Amino acid sequence: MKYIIIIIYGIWFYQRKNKARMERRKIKLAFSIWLRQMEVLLAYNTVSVAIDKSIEEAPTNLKPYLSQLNQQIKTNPQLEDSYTNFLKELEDIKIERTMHHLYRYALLGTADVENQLTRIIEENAEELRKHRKAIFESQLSFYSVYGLIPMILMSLIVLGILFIVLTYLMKGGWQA
Amino acid sequence: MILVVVFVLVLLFEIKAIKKDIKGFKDSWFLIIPLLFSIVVLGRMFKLKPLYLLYLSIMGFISSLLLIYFNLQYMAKRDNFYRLTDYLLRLSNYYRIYQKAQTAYEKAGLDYDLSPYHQHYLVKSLLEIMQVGETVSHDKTEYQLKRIEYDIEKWIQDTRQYQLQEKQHFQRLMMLIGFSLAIIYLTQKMLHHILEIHRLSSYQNLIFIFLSSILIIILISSKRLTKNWILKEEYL
Repeated sequence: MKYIIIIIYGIWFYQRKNKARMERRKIKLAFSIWLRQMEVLLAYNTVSVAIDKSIEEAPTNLKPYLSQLNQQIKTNPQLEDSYTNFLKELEDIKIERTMHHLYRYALLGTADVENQLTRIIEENAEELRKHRKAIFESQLSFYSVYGLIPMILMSLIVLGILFIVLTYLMKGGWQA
Repeated sequence: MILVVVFVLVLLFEIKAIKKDIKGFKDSWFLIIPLLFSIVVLGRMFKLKPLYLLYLSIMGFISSLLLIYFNLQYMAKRDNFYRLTDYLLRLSNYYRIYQKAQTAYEKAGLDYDLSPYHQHYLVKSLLEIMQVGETVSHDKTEYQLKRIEYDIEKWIQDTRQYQLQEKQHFQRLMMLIGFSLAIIYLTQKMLHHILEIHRLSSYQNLIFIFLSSILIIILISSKRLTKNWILKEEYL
């Protein structure tokens, strides 16, 4: 009984952990996609206006976080924490760095900061590629499990044939 | 039997509906004969009873139709992806040259409908760049369009690479299936020296189940190849 409880707990724990990991991955991907859109908006808008405009077309799972950020910026545009606290629970250094640069760009708006932000946005394109490749790789992992099926099937059939031969040779099996 | 006939008819109608848009369809028909033939030959090799051979032939026929259908779907998804990316690149290029959205759409081809892909982040970004260019200014459009073209090219490259890898994995799976068939064939061949195993009904059932399972594995893995080439995760 205790083994069954351990196994059930193990499965539950693994599924929970896996779900949380998938959720984190989805939000990171959504952030990269949002930043890709921000690149267009930032060209002709201030940071606060660009964030405000981006909410409508942002990935669904990011909208609540963006609305909260937008609200905080509207309340206190000078407060750095509004930017740096964005998606803080993910503890992602890239997100933190990007938000910090966005804050600097919003506050200073100099050419130097703009260049830094452009570099980050360009890096983000690579990040999006990495996300895409990770999704592709996870899809390919299907074959590593699925590839075992013919081999398992083969083993079972060989065993089955041997069993048939054995029972036949024993004239009906060991009960006789 | 009626169900099988209905299923085959539905499948044939589906094939007819998809094949209109695909150029390479002619190449797919030849799949039926070798597949049907190889199923029957396999059944004969394992010395299956005529009744089981008949069942296998029917299953082989339906499977070959399904394989053609999956192959057609694969071709349709592939064509859709290339048509879309090709159109986006053309649109971006023409917009960069003419700086007028209407002219860019006309030059890129008015017959293509972009609306099903509006929610893809790259399509969305391109349309936004064009919209901002039209309404505000073209100052930064050139740089942004070049960047988006680069992203689209990488998108094509990554997707193509993934599709190639998936095909290779599929081929490896087929090799494994061939390998397992060979091992089982050799096993039962060796046992023929001891007794005529094929006369036993349990052997007949076992081999029939095995060959049917192999067909199902082939069908499921072929079905996987028909996935959309555009990732749903990249939609907004």
